[in-house]
Amino acid sequence: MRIVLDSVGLTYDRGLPTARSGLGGVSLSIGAGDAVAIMGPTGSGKTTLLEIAAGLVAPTTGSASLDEAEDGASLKSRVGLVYQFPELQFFEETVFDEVAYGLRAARIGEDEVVRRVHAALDRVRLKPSSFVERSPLTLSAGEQRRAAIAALVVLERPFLLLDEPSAGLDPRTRDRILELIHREREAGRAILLVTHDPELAEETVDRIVVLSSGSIVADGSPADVFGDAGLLERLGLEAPPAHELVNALSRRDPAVARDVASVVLGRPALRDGVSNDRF
Amino acid sequence: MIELRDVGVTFPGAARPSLDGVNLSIAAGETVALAGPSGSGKTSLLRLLNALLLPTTGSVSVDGMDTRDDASLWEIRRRVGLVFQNPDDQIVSTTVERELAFGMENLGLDRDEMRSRVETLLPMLGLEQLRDRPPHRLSGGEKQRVAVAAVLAMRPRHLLLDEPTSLLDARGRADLWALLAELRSREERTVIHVTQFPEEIAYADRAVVLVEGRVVFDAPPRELFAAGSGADGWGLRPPPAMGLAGALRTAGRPLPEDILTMDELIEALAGGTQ
Ligand SMILES: Nc1ncnc2c1ncn2[C@@H]1O[C@H](COP(=O)(O)OP(=O)(O)O)[C@@H](O)[C@H]1O
Ligand SMILES: Nc1ncnc2c1ncn2[C@@H]1O[C@H](COP(=O)(O)OP(=O)(O)O)[C@@H](O)[C@H]1O
Ligand SMILES: [Mg+2]
Ligand SMILES: [Mg+2]
Repeated sequence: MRIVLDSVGLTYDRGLPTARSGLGGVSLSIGAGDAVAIMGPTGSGKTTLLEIAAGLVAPTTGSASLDEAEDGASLKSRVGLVYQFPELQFFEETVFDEVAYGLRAARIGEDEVVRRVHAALDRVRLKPSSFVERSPLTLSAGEQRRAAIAALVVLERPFLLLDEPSAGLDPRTRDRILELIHREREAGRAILLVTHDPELAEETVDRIVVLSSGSIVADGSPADVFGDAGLLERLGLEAPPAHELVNALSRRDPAVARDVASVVLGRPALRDGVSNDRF
Repeated sequence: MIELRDVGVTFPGAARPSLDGVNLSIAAGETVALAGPSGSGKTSLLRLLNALLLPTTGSVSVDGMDTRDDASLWEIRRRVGLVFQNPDDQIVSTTVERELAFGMENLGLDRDEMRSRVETLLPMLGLEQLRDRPPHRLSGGEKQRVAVAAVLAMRPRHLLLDEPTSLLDARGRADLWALLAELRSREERTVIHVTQFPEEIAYADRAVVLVEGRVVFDAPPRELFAAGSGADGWGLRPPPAMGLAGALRTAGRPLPEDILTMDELIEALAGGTQ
């Protein structure tokens, strides 16, 4: 099964004086087991891209489809999107009902619902016994985020799309999100992750696609993208601290940069004027 | 001056208090970083300071005014500006420009003054192109900048920011910190910010850490990340520059012990070269 985006573009308010482009022509394909991060400045079209890939918004140009899938499967039924601030969409009275909502809508038996809701809460590290009865509105921000993610992972769809899942979380809760992404990957789910957190990207994906003004401007391994000091500088993006340090040093003193890279970077992954020949 | 005395907050029906025995006194002009795990009471504490939330026990005062005193409510809200953790909870207007004007109108500022503040703030926060757009249709980071601008427009004496950079990219974060530093250099302003970024804690004069509703640490950030402070147990990571400096020291590269920020580390490694 693959999500295939073929030159998708989206113009908001098409035909009106307020028309504006949310996304240019983007082509991208994501298959089972893939883990891809989308990075890019604010307003570059990341959320728009996720909404299209989840089948929630139809592109105004190009096409978004689910390929190599069984009959009747659609993007909507196979892709789960966790919105930025998913906790804003709470409407049930208890955490249990909130997480159970999608399962009940799919007419799954109540025994199975209970089992899966508890398992999903465990996976996001909210102890079921302490949380099932609580009103979602009284949870703290980090607890709400995890409950909202549970409401989606409980559906066990093969594609999991996450929009800024770690924004605003404390480091421990962020690590739980990281762990959760790892576990979902191990369970065979494909991940498409939008994040401003370069370490989260580095630790969870194999490929980073960089958007700027609605178009793809870079596509490579984390080491490639984070070693590209010029690209990061141009777009105002951040790399994980070790890369930031090496990139900053290579502008000041390439010899020092190489020496530091040999210590702080897992494997030499230097580009942009700093050669690898020392390693 | 902001004072909390023996403050406790227990929400209706809650089994335990969300804030418990909190004593804090923050002088005008101080910059305080408020940190702590999710659910530790940071947002509740900020809400106490502009009387959106009243203490269950103890008292909270702002420049001598008790937040429970209804007669002071307007003056407290005028002096204390709160940027909400989630911009959607704060934004009310139909265009970015009107959102900036909204709070100022409530303060009764005259048109010319309002216009001039709007014209200064829009470019400072990179919002010029967005001025006529409906805020609820902006991206998260754009909304967050609108929320900050709308509060800055009111020039509150005490500025409270609840994770104001959580949705911004690296440049947006750096720009916001530069702007806050500039505002502080021009006029005295208390800044209390909640953050999850160790480097943003390092910007403050003082770091306050909450754990399960209690203040467990209140001292300069440098001490927070010193060995044995307990920061790790409270789920706080040291700034990445400290970890990198440690790795380099272990690998035999001589470096000073007190490196806290990336700038300090770069200077120590490549100082003298340009
Ligand atoms: N509902 C909408 N109506 C009009 N413009 C929108 C809407 N949503 C987003 N946009 C615009 O589309 C562009 C891309 O937005 P978005 O995909 O949210 O960016 P990102 O997630 O990268 O910050 C931005 O310029 C944004 O202002
Ligand atoms: N309106 C409320 N009703 C009940 N409990 C609440 C309410 N607001 C917050 N809480 C609880 O108070 C605690 C502190 O929450 P909060 O101040 O939002 O923490 P933080 O900002 O540090 O994440 C949490 O356990 C949360 O569940
Ligand atoms: Mg977005
Ligand atoms: Mg909070």
